[in-house]
Amino acid sequence: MKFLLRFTVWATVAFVVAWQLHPVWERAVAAIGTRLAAPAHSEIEILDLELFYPFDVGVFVALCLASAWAPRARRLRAALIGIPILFAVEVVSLVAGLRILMSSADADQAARFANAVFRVSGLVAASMAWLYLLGSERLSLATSKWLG
Amino acid sequence: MSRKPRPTSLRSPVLRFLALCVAYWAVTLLVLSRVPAIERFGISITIATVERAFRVLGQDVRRVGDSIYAGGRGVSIVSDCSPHVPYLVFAAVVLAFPSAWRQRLAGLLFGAILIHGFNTLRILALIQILIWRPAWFDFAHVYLWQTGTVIVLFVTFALWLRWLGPSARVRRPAVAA
Repeated sequence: MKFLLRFTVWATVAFVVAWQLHPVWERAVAAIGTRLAAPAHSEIEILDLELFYPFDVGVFVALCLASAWAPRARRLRAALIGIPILFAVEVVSLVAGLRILMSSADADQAARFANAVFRVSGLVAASMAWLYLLGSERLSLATSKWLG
Repeated sequence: MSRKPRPTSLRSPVLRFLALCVAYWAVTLLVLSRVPAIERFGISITIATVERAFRVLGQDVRRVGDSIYAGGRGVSIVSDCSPHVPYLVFAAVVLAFPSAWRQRLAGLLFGAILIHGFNTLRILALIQILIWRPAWFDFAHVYLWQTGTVIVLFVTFALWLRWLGPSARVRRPAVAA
């Protein structure tokens, strides 16, 4: 359970940092995303924004820092590689969600799809990026050792 | 001239696992958007369980539509309050992991109970925070949903892996950790 305890502690610390950063971060993601998603010669105005970014980045950083089986330099390197990737995933998710919302004939269906994308794409990407960069070594064991 | 066998990529089984996860997840997203009954079921079961939990705890509770009122405070149970999306993410991971179908089914059932249980506790806690410390609500709401849910998904998956035991391994050479 050591890994999970370390992860819980780091995730809580990272959440507090993400909580401070999230208004600025969300606006940055929205600024890029709306520009990319807007049809030609038009712009998208966002009135209310609730994307739960960068809490996914906080989870990713916490996973990296909790991966005590890897040397500290490797953990930091993984975190530095992952952060811009996750930012890109957030922008792509927003662009995809907005495009689906704008183009679908069935507004309810599109809203459900976009909502699900916004809700979990960042967290799924965070888990997968960590699994690829660091967690794969532990996944290979798939035994009680995984829990520390 | 003989060719040296190419060493198996250490990451290829993990990549296959990740690709399967993404494929399952994409399918669940499509199904979710096309079948509103799933979302409806998630909301209904959440409301029913929270209402029952309040009654068991002896607290007055009132249900009006999709809202629950307790201690003079009310919360509206919307799609985000339902555990169906986190559960489907968990299900994708369990289905993608190399194991027997019997073990996968056990994992899906175990995950459903644990994730639904956590979500019920989350909403009970949030309503108590709303009653006693309303200023903390936003912070607790996002913390429990974002970080709390991920922690629970990891714990549930890890417990399932432990239950699988040493027979379940990703087929690849051992790596020194």
